[in-house]
Amino acid sequence: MEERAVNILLVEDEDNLHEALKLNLELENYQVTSAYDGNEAIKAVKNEYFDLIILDVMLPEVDGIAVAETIRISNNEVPILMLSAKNTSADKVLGLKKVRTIILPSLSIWKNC
Amino acid sequence: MEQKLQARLKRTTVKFWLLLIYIIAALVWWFISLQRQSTEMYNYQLNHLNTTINKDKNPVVYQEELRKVKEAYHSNTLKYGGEGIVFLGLIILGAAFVYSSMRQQKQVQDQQQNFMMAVTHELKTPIAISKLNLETLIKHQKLDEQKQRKLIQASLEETKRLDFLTNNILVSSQLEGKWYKMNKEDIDFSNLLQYRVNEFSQRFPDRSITSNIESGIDIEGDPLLLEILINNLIENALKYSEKDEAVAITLNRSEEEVSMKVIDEGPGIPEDERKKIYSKFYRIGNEATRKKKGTGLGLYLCRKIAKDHNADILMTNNNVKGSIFAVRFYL
Repeated sequence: MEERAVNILLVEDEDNLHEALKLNLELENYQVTSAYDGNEAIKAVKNEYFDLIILDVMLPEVDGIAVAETIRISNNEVPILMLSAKNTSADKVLGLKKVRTIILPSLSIWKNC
Repeated sequence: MEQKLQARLKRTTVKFWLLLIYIIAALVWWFISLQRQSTEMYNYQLNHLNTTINKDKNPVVYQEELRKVKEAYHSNTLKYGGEGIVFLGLIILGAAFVYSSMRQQKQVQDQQQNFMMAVTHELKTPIAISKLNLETLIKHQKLDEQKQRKLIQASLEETKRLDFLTNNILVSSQLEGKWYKMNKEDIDFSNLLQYRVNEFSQRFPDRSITSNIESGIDIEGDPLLLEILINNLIENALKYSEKDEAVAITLNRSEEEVSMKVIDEGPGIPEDERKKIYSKFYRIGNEATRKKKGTGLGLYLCRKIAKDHNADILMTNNNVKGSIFAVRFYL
Protein backbone atom coordinates (compact mmCIF):
# COMPACT_ATOMS: atom_id res chain seq x y z
CA MET A 1 0.00 0.00 0.00
CA GLU A 2 1.36 3.36 -0.99
CA GLU A 3 1.33 5.97 1.69
CA ARG A 4 1.62 9.63 0.86
CA ALA A 5 3.72 11.73 3.23
CA VAL A 6 1.72 14.25 5.21
CA ASN A 7 2.35 17.70 3.78
CA ILE A 8 2.67 20.54 6.29
CA LEU A 9 3.04 24.26 5.68
CA LEU A 10 5.12 25.91 8.38
CA VAL A 11 4.78 29.69 8.69
CA GLU A 12 7.20 31.24 11.17
CA ASP A 13 9.47 34.25 10.79
CA GLU A 14 12.01 33.55 13.53
CA ASP A 15 14.80 31.74 11.71
CA ASN A 16 15.98 29.64 14.63
CA LEU A 17 12.49 28.63 15.66
CA HIS A 18 11.62 27.83 12.09
CA GLU A 19 14.66 25.60 11.70
CA ALA A 20 14.01 23.78 14.96
CA LEU A 21 10.34 23.18 14.18
CA LYS A 22 11.15 22.00 10.71
CA LEU A 23 13.80 19.60 11.94
CA ASN A 24 11.38 18.10 14.44
CA LEU A 25 8.63 17.68 11.89
CA GLU A 26 11.00 16.12 9.42
CA LEU A 27 12.30 13.73 12.05
CA GLU A 28 8.70 12.59 12.41
CA ASN A 29 8.61 11.95 8.64
CA TYR A 30 6.40 14.85 7.68
CA GLN A 31 7.01 16.76 4.53
CA VAL A 32 7.50 20.44 5.36
CA THR A 33 7.11 23.51 3.17
CA SER A 34 8.50 26.73 4.60
CA ALA A 35 7.06 30.22 4.55
CA TYR A 36 8.59 33.14 6.42
CA ASP A 37 5.82 35.73 6.25
CA GLY A 38 2.09 36.08 5.70
CA ASN A 39 2.18 36.80 1.99
CA GLU A 40 4.41 33.82 1.30
CA ALA A 41 2.00 31.63 3.24
CA ILE A 42 -1.04 32.82 1.29
CA LYS A 43 0.77 32.23 -1.98
CA ALA A 44 1.84 28.74 -0.94
CA VAL A 45 -1.70 27.77 0.06
CA LYS A 46 -3.00 28.86 -3.33
CA ASN A 47 -0.46 26.74 -5.20
CA GLU A 48 -0.31 23.58 -3.17
CA TYR A 49 -2.39 21.19 -1.13
CA PHE A 50 -1.54 20.94 2.57
CA ASP A 51 -2.81 18.52 5.19
CA LEU A 52 -2.01 20.96 7.97
CA ILE A 53 -0.85 24.53 8.40
CA ILE A 54 1.19 25.60 11.40
CA LEU A 55 0.91 29.33 11.63
CA ASP A 56 2.57 31.88 13.89
CA VAL A 57 0.30 34.73 15.02
CA MET A 58 2.89 37.49 14.97
CA LEU A 59 4.23 37.70 11.45
CA PRO A 60 5.73 40.47 9.37
CA GLU A 61 3.51 42.14 6.71
CA VAL A 62 0.28 40.18 7.28
CA ASP A 63 -0.38 38.69 10.73
CA GLY A 64 -1.40 35.09 11.34
CA ILE A 65 -5.05 35.82 12.03
CA ALA A 66 -5.36 37.66 8.71
CA VAL A 67 -3.65 34.80 6.90
CA ALA A 68 -6.08 32.30 8.43
CA GLU A 69 -9.02 34.53 7.50
CA THR A 70 -7.83 34.74 3.91
CA ILE A 71 -7.51 30.96 3.76
CA ARG A 72 -11.01 30.47 5.20
CA ILE A 73 -12.57 33.04 2.86
CA SER A 74 -11.39 31.03 -0.11
CA ASN A 75 -13.41 28.10 1.29
CA ASN A 76 -10.38 26.14 2.31
CA GLU A 77 -11.06 24.05 5.43
CA VAL A 78 -7.50 22.83 5.93
CA PRO A 79 -6.74 22.32 9.64
CA ILE A 80 -4.74 25.23 11.04
CA LEU A 81 -2.73 25.22 14.23
CA MET A 82 -1.77 28.66 15.40
CA LEU A 83 1.18 29.40 17.62
CA SER A 84 1.11 32.39 19.87
CA ALA A 85 3.73 33.52 22.32
CA LYS A 86 1.06 35.48 24.11
CA ASN A 87 -1.16 32.49 24.88
CA THR A 88 -4.05 34.54 26.23
CA SER A 89 -7.60 33.25 26.34
CA ALA A 90 -8.78 36.29 24.41
CA ASP A 91 -6.55 35.15 21.54
CA LYS A 92 -7.89 31.63 21.70
CA VAL A 93 -11.48 32.84 21.52
CA LEU A 94 -10.59 35.10 18.62
CA GLY A 95 -8.98 32.18 16.81
CA LEU A 96 -11.95 29.89 17.30
CA LYS A 97 -14.59 32.44 16.42
CA LYS A 98 -13.04 34.17 13.49
CA VAL A 99 -11.13 31.51 11.66
CA ARG A 100 -12.04 28.19 13.25
CA THR A 101 -8.53 27.37 14.34
CA ILE A 102 -6.99 26.29 17.58
CA ILE A 103 -4.40 28.59 19.10
CA LEU A 104 -1.67 26.92 21.07
CA PRO A 105 1.03 28.43 23.17
CA SER A 106 4.25 28.28 21.16
CA LEU A 107 5.52 24.73 21.06
CA SER A 108 3.05 22.93 23.28
CA ILE A 109 2.17 20.70 20.32
CA TRP A 110 5.55 19.03 20.53
CA LYS A 111 4.57 17.38 23.76
CA ASN A 112 2.26 15.17 21.74
CA CYS A 113 4.58 14.40 18.88
CA MET B 1 -7.18 43.43 29.57
CA GLU B 2 -6.79 45.69 26.60
CA GLN B 3 -10.51 45.73 25.92
CA LYS B 4 -11.25 46.52 29.55
CA LEU B 5 -8.85 49.44 29.47
CA GLN B 6 -10.35 50.67 26.22
CA ALA B 7 -13.85 50.46 27.63
CA ARG B 8 -12.81 52.34 30.74
CA LEU B 9 -11.19 55.04 28.69
CA LYS B 10 -14.30 55.34 26.56
CA ARG B 11 -16.49 55.66 29.64
CA THR B 12 -14.23 58.33 31.07
CA THR B 13 -14.33 60.26 27.81
CA VAL B 14 -18.12 60.08 27.70
CA LYS B 15 -18.35 61.20 31.34
CA PHE B 16 -15.98 64.05 30.64
CA TRP B 17 -18.01 65.35 27.72
CA LEU B 18 -21.34 64.93 29.54
CA LEU B 19 -20.01 66.86 32.51
CA LEU B 20 -18.63 69.59 30.28
CA ILE B 21 -21.92 69.90 28.40
CA TYR B 22 -23.82 69.98 31.69
CA ILE B 23 -21.60 72.74 33.09
CA ILE B 24 -21.93 74.86 29.98
CA ALA B 25 -25.69 74.28 29.86
CA ALA B 26 -25.95 75.32 33.52
CA LEU B 27 -23.97 78.45 32.75
CA VAL B 28 -26.24 79.34 29.82
CA TRP B 29 -29.32 78.63 31.92
CA TRP B 30 -27.94 80.85 34.68
CA PHE B 31 -27.48 83.64 32.17
CA ILE B 32 -30.97 83.23 30.75
CA SER B 33 -32.63 83.23 34.16
CA LEU B 34 -30.69 86.29 35.30
CA GLN B 35 -31.60 88.03 32.08
CA ARG B 36 -35.22 87.17 32.63
CA GLN B 37 -35.13 88.42 36.20
CA SER B 38 -33.51 91.61 35.09
CA THR B 39 -36.09 92.18 32.38
CA GLU B 40 -38.86 91.63 34.91
CA MET B 41 -37.24 94.14 37.21
CA TYR B 42 -36.98 96.61 34.36
CA ASN B 43 -40.60 96.22 33.44
CA TYR B 44 -41.62 96.62 37.06
CA GLN B 45 -39.56 99.80 37.40
CA LEU B 46 -41.02 101.08 34.15
CA ASN B 47 -44.52 100.49 35.50
CA HIS B 48 -43.61 102.16 38.73
CA LEU B 49 -42.25 105.13 36.84
CA ASN B 50 -45.39 105.40 34.75
CA THR B 51 -47.62 105.44 37.82
CA THR B 52 -45.55 107.84 39.93
CA ILE B 53 -44.48 110.42 37.39
CA ASN B 54 -46.77 111.89 34.79
CA LYS B 55 -45.14 111.68 31.39
CA ASP B 56 -46.94 114.71 29.99
CA LYS B 57 -46.68 117.04 32.97
CA ASN B 58 -43.06 116.41 33.87
CA PRO B 59 -41.34 115.28 30.67
CA VAL B 60 -37.83 116.27 31.75
CA VAL B 61 -37.94 114.43 35.08
CA TYR B 62 -39.63 111.47 33.42
CA GLN B 63 -36.99 111.20 30.70
CA GLU B 64 -34.24 111.50 33.31
CA GLU B 65 -35.73 108.70 35.43
CA LEU B 66 -36.32 106.56 32.36
CA ARG B 67 -32.71 106.99 31.34
CA LYS B 68 -31.56 105.91 34.80
CA VAL B 69 -33.72 102.76 34.75
CA LYS B 70 -32.52 101.85 31.25
CA GLU B 71 -28.91 102.41 32.19
CA ALA B 72 -29.22 100.22 35.26
CA TYR B 73 -30.76 97.49 33.11
CA HIS B 74 -27.95 97.65 30.55
CA SER B 75 -25.17 97.75 33.08
CA ASN B 76 -26.69 94.70 34.79
CA THR B 77 -26.77 92.80 31.51
CA LEU B 78 -23.20 93.77 30.84
CA LYS B 79 -22.11 92.75 34.31
CA TYR B 80 -23.35 89.19 34.33
CA GLY B 81 -22.68 88.85 30.63
CA GLY B 82 -19.05 89.63 31.32
CA GLU B 83 -18.97 87.37 34.34
CA GLY B 84 -20.49 84.58 32.29
CA ILE B 85 -17.91 84.95 29.55
CA VAL B 86 -15.00 84.90 31.99
CA PHE B 87 -16.50 81.84 33.64
CA LEU B 88 -16.98 80.10 30.32
CA GLY B 89 -13.44 80.91 29.33
CA LEU B 90 -12.09 79.44 32.55
CA ILE B 91 -14.18 76.31 32.16
CA ILE B 92 -13.04 75.78 28.58
CA LEU B 93 -9.44 76.36 29.57
CA GLY B 94 -9.73 73.83 32.37
CA ALA B 95 -11.48 71.35 30.12
CA ALA B 96 -8.81 71.71 27.47
CA PHE B 97 -6.16 71.05 30.10
CA VAL B 98 -7.93 67.94 31.38
CA TYR B 99 -8.51 66.72 27.85
CA SER B 100 -4.90 67.10 26.79
CA SER B 101 -3.62 65.31 29.88
CA MET B 102 -6.13 62.56 29.26
CA ARG B 103 -4.80 62.13 25.75
CA GLN B 104 -1.25 62.12 26.98
CA GLN B 105 -2.17 59.45 29.49
CA LYS B 106 -3.65 57.36 26.73
CA GLN B 107 -0.54 57.72 24.62
CA VAL B 108 1.68 56.58 27.48
CA GLN B 109 -0.69 53.69 28.07
CA ASP B 110 -0.59 52.68 24.42
CA GLN B 111 3.17 52.74 24.36
CA GLN B 112 3.36 50.68 27.51
CA GLN B 113 0.90 48.24 25.99
CA ASN B 114 3.12 47.96 22.93
CA PHE B 115 6.09 47.42 25.18
CA MET B 116 4.35 44.63 27.04
CA MET B 117 3.42 42.95 23.78
CA ALA B 118 6.92 43.31 22.42
CA VAL B 119 8.58 42.12 25.60
CA THR B 120 6.31 39.09 25.86
CA HIS B 121 7.28 38.12 22.36
CA GLU B 122 10.94 39.00 22.77
CA LEU B 123 11.33 37.10 26.03
CA LYS B 124 9.27 34.09 25.12
CA THR B 125 10.73 33.43 21.70
CA PRO B 126 14.34 32.79 22.75
CA ILE B 127 13.14 30.71 25.68
CA ALA B 128 10.86 28.69 23.43
CA ILE B 129 13.64 28.11 20.90
CA SER B 130 16.19 27.04 23.50
CA LYS B 131 13.67 24.78 25.16
CA LEU B 132 12.65 23.18 21.90
CA ASN B 133 16.25 22.65 20.88
CA LEU B 134 17.14 21.00 24.17
CA GLU B 135 14.05 18.82 24.04
CA THR B 136 14.93 17.80 20.52
CA LEU B 137 18.43 16.85 21.62
CA ILE B 138 17.07 14.71 24.43
CA LYS B 139 14.43 13.04 22.31
CA HIS B 140 16.60 12.30 19.29
CA GLN B 141 19.89 11.30 20.74
CA LYS B 142 20.99 9.59 17.57
CA LEU B 143 20.94 12.83 15.62
CA ASP B 144 24.05 13.33 13.51
CA GLU B 145 26.73 15.50 14.99
CA GLN B 146 26.37 18.41 12.61
CA LYS B 147 22.67 18.80 13.41
CA GLN B 148 23.37 18.52 17.11
CA ARG B 149 25.97 21.26 16.89
CA LYS B 150 23.57 23.44 14.99
CA LEU B 151 20.91 23.05 17.67
CA ILE B 152 23.37 23.83 20.44
CA GLN B 153 24.74 26.83 18.54
CA ALA B 154 21.23 28.17 17.98
CA SER B 155 20.38 27.77 21.66
CA LEU B 156 23.50 29.63 22.64
CA GLU B 157 22.65 32.43 20.24
CA GLU B 158 19.17 32.71 21.69
CA THR B 159 20.55 32.77 25.21
CA LYS B 160 22.79 35.66 24.24
CA ARG B 161 19.82 37.46 22.79
CA LEU B 162 17.94 36.96 26.02
CA ASP B 163 20.93 38.25 27.95
CA PHE B 164 21.09 41.36 25.77
CA LEU B 165 17.40 42.03 26.25
CA THR B 166 17.32 41.53 30.00
CA ASN B 167 20.38 43.77 30.29
CA ASN B 168 18.53 46.49 28.40
CA ILE B 169 15.45 46.23 30.56
CA LEU B 170 17.34 46.02 33.85
CA VAL B 171 19.80 48.80 33.14
CA SER B 172 17.15 51.18 31.84
CA SER B 173 15.01 50.71 34.93
CA GLN B 174 18.07 51.00 37.16
CA LEU B 175 19.23 54.17 35.45
CA GLU B 176 15.75 55.57 35.81
CA GLY B 177 15.44 54.68 39.47
CA LYS B 178 18.91 56.11 40.05
CA TRP B 179 19.95 52.83 41.63
CA TYR B 180 22.63 52.29 39.09
CA LYS B 181 25.96 53.44 40.38
CA MET B 182 28.14 54.50 37.51
CA ASN B 183 31.53 53.01 37.67
CA LYS B 184 33.64 55.38 35.64
CA GLU B 185 37.18 54.41 34.88
CA ASP B 186 39.74 55.05 32.17
CA ILE B 187 39.10 52.53 29.43
CA ASP B 188 40.62 51.73 26.09
CA PHE B 189 37.57 52.50 23.97
CA SER B 190 39.22 51.30 20.76
CA ASN B 191 39.78 47.92 22.32
CA LEU B 192 36.26 47.68 23.71
CA LEU B 193 34.71 48.61 20.38
CA GLN B 194 36.91 46.19 18.43
CA TYR B 195 35.96 43.42 20.81
CA ARG B 196 32.23 44.11 20.36
CA VAL B 197 32.60 44.25 16.57
CA ASN B 198 34.42 40.92 16.58
CA GLU B 199 31.66 39.35 18.61
CA PHE B 200 29.01 40.60 16.20
CA SER B 201 31.02 39.29 13.24
CA GLN B 202 31.07 35.91 14.94
CA ARG B 203 27.37 35.99 15.69
CA PHE B 204 26.43 37.02 12.17
CA PRO B 205 29.00 35.30 9.95
CA ASP B 206 27.01 35.92 6.76
CA ARG B 207 26.73 39.69 7.30
CA SER B 208 29.25 42.19 6.05
CA ILE B 209 30.51 44.08 9.08
CA THR B 210 33.51 46.30 8.47
CA SER B 211 35.31 48.49 10.92
CA ASN B 212 37.80 51.31 10.82
CA ILE B 213 38.88 51.87 14.39
CA GLU B 214 41.67 54.23 15.37
CA SER B 215 43.66 52.48 18.04
CA GLY B 216 44.64 53.74 21.47
CA ILE B 217 41.68 56.01 22.14
CA ASP B 218 41.05 56.19 25.87
CA ILE B 219 37.94 57.68 27.40
CA GLU B 220 36.54 57.81 30.88
CA GLY B 221 33.38 55.81 31.25
CA ASP B 222 31.46 52.87 32.61
CA PRO B 223 32.46 49.81 30.57
CA LEU B 224 29.14 47.99 31.03
CA LEU B 225 27.10 51.01 29.92
CA LEU B 226 29.36 51.72 26.95
CA GLU B 227 29.08 48.10 25.93
CA ILE B 228 25.29 48.37 26.00
CA LEU B 229 25.46 51.54 23.93
CA ILE B 230 27.64 49.90 21.29
CA ASN B 231 25.60 46.70 21.26
CA ASN B 232 22.34 48.55 20.75
CA LEU B 233 23.60 50.67 17.88
CA ILE B 234 25.18 47.75 16.02
CA GLU B 235 22.22 45.50 16.75
CA ASN B 236 19.88 48.15 15.30
CA ALA B 237 22.02 48.61 12.22
CA LEU B 238 21.98 44.86 11.54
CA LYS B 239 18.34 44.42 12.42
CA TYR B 240 16.92 47.21 10.30
CA SER B 241 18.88 46.50 7.14
CA GLU B 242 18.66 43.58 4.75
CA LYS B 243 21.02 40.63 4.92
CA ASP B 244 23.05 41.74 1.91
CA GLU B 245 23.49 45.32 3.14
CA ALA B 246 26.77 46.20 4.82
CA VAL B 247 27.26 47.72 8.25
CA ALA B 248 30.35 49.83 8.99
CA ILE B 249 31.71 50.99 12.31
CA THR B 250 34.29 53.77 12.65
CA LEU B 251 36.05 55.42 15.56
CA ASN B 252 38.34 58.41 15.45
CA ARG B 253 39.53 61.27 17.55
CA SER B 254 39.90 64.94 16.79
CA GLU B 255 41.12 67.70 19.07
CA GLU B 256 37.91 68.17 20.96
CA GLU B 257 35.96 64.98 20.50
CA VAL B 258 35.97 61.22 20.09
CA SER B 259 33.49 60.17 17.47
CA MET B 260 32.03 56.72 16.95
CA LYS B 261 29.86 56.04 13.92
CA VAL B 262 27.63 53.12 13.07
CA ILE B 263 26.70 53.26 9.40
CA ASP B 264 24.06 51.10 7.74
CA GLU B 265 22.49 50.82 4.31
CA GLY B 266 18.98 50.15 5.53
CA PRO B 267 15.80 52.08 4.74
CA GLY B 268 16.79 55.12 6.86
CA ILE B 269 14.47 57.02 9.18
CA PRO B 270 11.84 59.50 7.94
CA GLU B 271 12.38 63.12 8.94
CA ASP B 272 9.33 63.36 11.18
CA GLU B 273 10.23 60.24 13.18
CA ARG B 274 13.75 61.32 14.05
CA LYS B 275 12.92 63.16 17.21
CA LYS B 276 10.65 60.44 18.52
CA ILE B 277 12.99 57.48 18.14
CA TYR B 278 14.73 58.28 21.41
CA SER B 279 11.51 58.21 23.46
CA LYS B 280 11.03 55.29 25.74
CA PHE B 281 9.08 52.39 24.20
CA TYR B 282 8.71 54.32 20.95
CA ARG B 283 8.79 52.20 17.82
CA ILE B 284 7.97 53.17 14.26
CA GLY B 285 4.91 51.45 12.83
CA ASN B 286 2.31 48.99 14.07
CA GLU B 287 3.18 46.28 16.60
CA ALA B 288 1.13 43.34 15.33
CA THR B 289 2.49 43.23 11.80
CA ARG B 290 5.89 44.68 12.47
CA LYS B 291 8.70 43.35 10.42
CA LYS B 292 11.37 43.70 13.05
CA LYS B 293 10.95 42.77 16.66
CA GLY B 294 12.17 44.92 19.50
CA THR B 295 11.17 46.65 22.69
CA GLY B 296 11.59 50.35 21.96
CA LEU B 297 14.22 50.62 24.67
CA GLY B 298 17.43 50.58 22.63
CA LEU B 299 17.82 54.16 21.47
CA TYR B 300 16.22 55.53 24.61
CA LEU B 301 18.93 53.76 26.57
CA CYS B 302 21.66 54.85 24.15
CA ARG B 303 20.78 58.48 24.56
CA LYS B 304 20.64 58.18 28.33
CA ILE B 305 24.04 56.48 28.45
CA ALA B 306 25.53 59.02 26.04
CA LYS B 307 24.26 61.86 28.21
CA ASP B 308 25.89 60.33 31.28
CA HIS B 309 29.19 60.26 29.39
CA ASN B 310 29.08 63.85 28.20
CA ALA B 311 28.25 62.71 24.69
CA ASP B 312 25.44 63.16 22.22
CA ILE B 313 23.92 61.03 19.49
CA LEU B 314 23.25 62.43 16.08
CA MET B 315 21.40 60.62 13.35
CA THR B 316 22.08 61.61 9.75
CA ASN B 317 21.41 60.16 6.32
CA ASN B 318 23.98 57.91 4.78
CA ASN B 319 25.19 59.23 1.41
CA VAL B 320 23.98 56.30 -0.59
CA LYS B 321 21.20 54.78 1.43
CA GLY B 322 20.50 54.19 5.10
CA SER B 323 21.46 56.04 8.23
CA ILE B 324 24.46 57.01 10.30
CA PHE B 325 24.33 57.09 14.07
CA ALA B 326 27.20 59.16 15.41
CA VAL B 327 28.09 59.28 19.10
CA ARG B 328 30.36 62.18 19.98
CA PHE B 329 32.18 62.18 23.29
CA TYR B 330 33.34 65.68 24.16
CA LEU B 331 36.80 65.77 25.67
